[in-house]
Amino acid sequence: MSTVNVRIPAPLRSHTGGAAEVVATGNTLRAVIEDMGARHDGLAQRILTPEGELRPYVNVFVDGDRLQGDDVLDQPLRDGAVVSLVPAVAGGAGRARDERLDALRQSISEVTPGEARALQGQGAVLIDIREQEEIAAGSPEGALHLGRGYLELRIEDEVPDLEKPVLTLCSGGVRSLFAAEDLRRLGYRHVHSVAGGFNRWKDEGLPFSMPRMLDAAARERYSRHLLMPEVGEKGQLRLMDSRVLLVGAGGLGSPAALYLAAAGVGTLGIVDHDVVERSNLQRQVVHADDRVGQAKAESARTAVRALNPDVRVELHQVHLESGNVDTIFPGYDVILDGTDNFATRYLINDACIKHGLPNVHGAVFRFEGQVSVFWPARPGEPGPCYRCLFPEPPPPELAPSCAEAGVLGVLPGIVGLLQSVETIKLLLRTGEPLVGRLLFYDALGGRFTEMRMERDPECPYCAEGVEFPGYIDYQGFCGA
Amino acid sequence: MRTLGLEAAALQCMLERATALYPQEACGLLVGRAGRVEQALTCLNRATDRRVGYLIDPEDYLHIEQQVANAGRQVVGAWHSHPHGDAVPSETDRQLAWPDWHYLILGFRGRLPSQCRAWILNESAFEEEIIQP
Repeated sequence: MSTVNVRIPAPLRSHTGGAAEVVATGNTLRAVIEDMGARHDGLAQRILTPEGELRPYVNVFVDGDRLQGDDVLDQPLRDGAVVSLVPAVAGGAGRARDERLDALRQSISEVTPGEARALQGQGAVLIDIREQEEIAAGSPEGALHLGRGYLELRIEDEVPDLEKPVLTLCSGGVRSLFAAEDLRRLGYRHVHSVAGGFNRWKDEGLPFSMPRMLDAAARERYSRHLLMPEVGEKGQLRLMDSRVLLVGAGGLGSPAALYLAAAGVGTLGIVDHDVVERSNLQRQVVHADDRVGQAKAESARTAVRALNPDVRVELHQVHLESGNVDTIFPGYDVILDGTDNFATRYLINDACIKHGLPNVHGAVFRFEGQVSVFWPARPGEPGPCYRCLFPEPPPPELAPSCAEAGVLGVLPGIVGLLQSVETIKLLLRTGEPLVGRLLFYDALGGRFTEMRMERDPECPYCAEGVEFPGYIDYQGFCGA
Repeated sequence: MRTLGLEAAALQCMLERATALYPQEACGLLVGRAGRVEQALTCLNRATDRRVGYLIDPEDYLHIEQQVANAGRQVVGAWHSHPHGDAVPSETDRQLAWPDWHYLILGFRGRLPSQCRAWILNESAFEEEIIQP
């Protein structure tokens, strides 16, 4: 057994009663430290880590030579050796990034991709915070795509419950640490960063998919939509997959065609058999002076293509009637009623009931307009149909068309756009549609009023259990 | 909060050295007794990247400690500068700190040191000490 003299550095002398040197026994440094520890309370803990390793700030000299290597603690000591414990005096500002990461790793919980997958199975929300181009090459199944740039702005819409466990994932596990910290600042109490990120997720053979995404041009075109949590990429893709039928390319159909095309509705069907007249141009803004005489459906297609060439336009240059409505309506998601006559309005109502489609209704008369959504087939909350309010068309002398009564040119713009808003809401499945409510606009008074409408339980067309009674051709006796 | 006495000459020595070595970190040892720094010694900074770290060679330390002991005094801590930041211990500082030692840090604004603060490790966290003349 060797007996050695150990020189104690100043910071440790409080453990040796102020002594700068103590005598200890042991054949290795480890044994010597343990021997000192037995006699000087707390000394060994200052030199060794809890795992029994030499602390990083302790250098050891034996007889003037510095001991180096992994086995410093186990190198043999000769009897009578002088052991000096020397503080490694070091530190410094450090690299800001490394500093931050070190601090983050101490405060943010990290989980492996496998653990993340298991937590996901238990209800945790996995958020892929990478950029769109990175996500395009694959993303974990079931992951939410919330780019780092908008994470804080959107997370509360996606995950309103602050108690819900949230997992952040990036490509390598660094950016997700920063994101996790931000989420914790927002109040999320159970946040974990996925160590190794998506690279390790793939390496571990965990499931991922190539998400369908907007291309760069679409991303630019719809950027204002993408900023909105109610639309976002998912909503925009949904709009692009949607099919809307505009019945009429007139005063109501004009603003609807333009704005729905601009919004990126993928397919617009246009039913119109008429031609553009100069008197239409006072309000039918989808047409143009140099297209007077052209078929309205084709003129509308020209304007839509000029605005957004990605929109598919399907033309139905026919007069909508009971004989063709069943071949035109199926396949569309929403029918936008832009007609100016009761015969077609009832036909649209009846066909929408038959095919279970929402009917976005609009009508104008001089300075007044009205909008509603008739949708008896609405899942969960069925609304009334047009017939629940007006079972039969009025007599022709009480139902003049625009051609007969006149209309303020701006008014169909407003009503057609209210219809467009309702259409978009239905397609995105967001907000409160005007189902069971009729919205009146009095342009002269500058007033909107709303009337609640109930379903008619005896409605011959939409009441529960009623068999579709067939179409009625009002054309012959209605003031169209 | 604990206090730490600091001789004006010691502060002057650190400020001059830190200014001269900007944008690199300056470093050295503090000599005195517990609770009071009587002298600041300058040391060579042996760190690989001296803009973001400092390292006093253990052999330099041994040599200085011996000389200080021969004069009947003791090393009570270390000082260094943060040429690009505040006089607040970094995570690196914390990980490499000795318990019960006084750490003086000089922070910079622009090219000149603008603050000097004292810290002491309590368990695993730094606590600030109030500097007194």
